[in-house]
Amino acid sequence: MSIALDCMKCGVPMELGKVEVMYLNNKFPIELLKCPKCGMVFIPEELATGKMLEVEKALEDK
Amino acid sequence: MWVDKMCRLYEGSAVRQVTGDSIRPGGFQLTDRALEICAPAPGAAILDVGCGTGATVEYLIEKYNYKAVGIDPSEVLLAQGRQRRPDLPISQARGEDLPFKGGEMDCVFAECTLSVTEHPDAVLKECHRVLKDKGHLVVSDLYIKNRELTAELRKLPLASCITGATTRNELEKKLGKAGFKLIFWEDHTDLLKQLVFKIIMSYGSMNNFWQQAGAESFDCCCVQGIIKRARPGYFLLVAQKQWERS
Repeated sequence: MSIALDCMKCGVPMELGKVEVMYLNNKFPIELLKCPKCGMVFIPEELATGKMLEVEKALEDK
Repeated sequence: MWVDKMCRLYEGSAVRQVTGDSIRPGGFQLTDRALEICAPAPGAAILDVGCGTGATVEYLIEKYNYKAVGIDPSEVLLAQGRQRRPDLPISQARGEDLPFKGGEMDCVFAECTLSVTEHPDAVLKECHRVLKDKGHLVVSDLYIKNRELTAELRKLPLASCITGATTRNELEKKLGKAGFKLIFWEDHTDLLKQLVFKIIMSYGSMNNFWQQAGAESFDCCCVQGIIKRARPGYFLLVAQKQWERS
């Protein structure tokens, strides 16, 4: 991820860090931009509507 | 005989980009878990059936000091292992015809490999033969919850664990027939889901992954549909050799 963003709440630059995404009671580790002060995570639209949607489609229990 | 189909998923680099050299969900996590259950004596003889590049053999020697050896039918994977570490005790052989004496092993591992073999019954029989009395067989693998999809999975034009996956019930029957008693079963479907997640994060979608894996020759959507309907899960089991085969 090459974009530079500041946390809207704290105004400090967000840093790449390991976060855990929860889906269907499963934890998935992923690297995302995170505020070093308040811990707020930035989820890019492409991730939410692209890859995460693909994960949902692949893992949904039938 | 090992299956010989057009897309050998385990030999390609696409899957290893997300699994590392262990080429299986969870990496060494289930290897460690199995060793907790079996608790082999220091210096125990351990055979890894379907060792690939020998990552587990190296791990068992380096981390645990076991007398580990591995066999695999794929010269491609063995060569990569030897390139990484020339002194690895890995050799070319099939699970159905193990190049070891009867009762030579304290423990046999088949991590995500039993389902890739064409004759799992023969592989289990061989594992039983090379194990000492009361020796342990460790299997981690894919299994399916929808038995009705077994035949369709077998017809898929790829060589991977999913095509040979069976139900827990069928597997337990096979173990019993081969002379093993199941002493431990643990579901690890979460590791399979984590692998799917990693694949999608790396490749964007499962479709992209299949294409990168060299599966241009088949309809990815159709393959994914069959796999999904089979309701795959992942397990770790430990079985113990119970009686001498005739």
